[in-house]
Amino acid sequence: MNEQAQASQICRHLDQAAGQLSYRVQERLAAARAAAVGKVPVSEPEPSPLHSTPREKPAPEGATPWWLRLAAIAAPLLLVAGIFLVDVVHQEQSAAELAEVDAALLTDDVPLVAYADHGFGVYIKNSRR
Amino acid sequence: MATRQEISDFLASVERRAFKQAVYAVRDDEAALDIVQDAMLKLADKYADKPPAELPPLFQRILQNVIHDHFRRQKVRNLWTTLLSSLQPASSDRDGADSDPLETLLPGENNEMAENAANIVESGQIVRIIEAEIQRLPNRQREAFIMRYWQDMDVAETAAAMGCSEGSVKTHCSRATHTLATALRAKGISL
Repeated sequence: MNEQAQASQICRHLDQAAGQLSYRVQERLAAARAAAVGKVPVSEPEPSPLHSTPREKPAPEGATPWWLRLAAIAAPLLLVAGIFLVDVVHQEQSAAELAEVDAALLTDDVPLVAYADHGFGVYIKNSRR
Repeated sequence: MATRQEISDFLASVERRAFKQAVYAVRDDEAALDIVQDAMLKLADKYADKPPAELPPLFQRILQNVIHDHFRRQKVRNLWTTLLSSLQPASSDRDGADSDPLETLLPGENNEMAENAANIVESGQIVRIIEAEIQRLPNRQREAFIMRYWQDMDVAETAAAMGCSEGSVKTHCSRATHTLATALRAKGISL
């Protein structure tokens, strides 16, 4: 009898021994098995492609779009810039008026003392209109 | 990944042999039950994600490791027991220090209703003798023999579970079979 056949015969007897375990041992083994199976994590089903989550997350509700935020920052800047522009224009206009008066004084043959008179100043303004 | 049902079925299919395997190694039913339970828990806890086909060699490897751990712990325990017992009076009892191997040969409960009484007795005696001879084998030979022939693992799986070469597995198996056959023949048992 070769090695394999001898081993098979011996294992047949070992199977017989394994089949004759006492009730207590069988119960212990069953309890151990139940405890082990209880530790196996429950497998979650694979998500189907139809219900898969999109790659790009939609913007959460209430979030401000980028262009609105840009507009919110640009509006006060534009306001400040506008005020500054109006001030510059106003100053230029004032300077131009004063320059006009100065030019009229220098080019006119009216004596300078006459300009000290209030009524004469009014006269000049009225004559420009 | 193995499901709960697959792991449960697998454990149910191997638990009896695993228990006997542990008994042959540690010669103690209670320790063998603890070992099998420990191996089952480790398999379920750490390797439940493996496919069912990989479970048998994995479980064998875990079982062997747990048995080796048991021997390591026993060695440490025996060391402390020896040290402490040397401090006690000589008349004190030493429980478990010299376990009698024949205690493991006590007859178990059988379900032999339908068989002839003479055959039952003879068969039971042969089984006990074979089990005793299996227990007498060197550890590595017993592990190789049981995994290769009783658990139906191939040489490569057995080698992987034992952490040795395939050549060593063949050598262990051959020597174990030869030793068992010789011992049984000497007792008048023909296979």
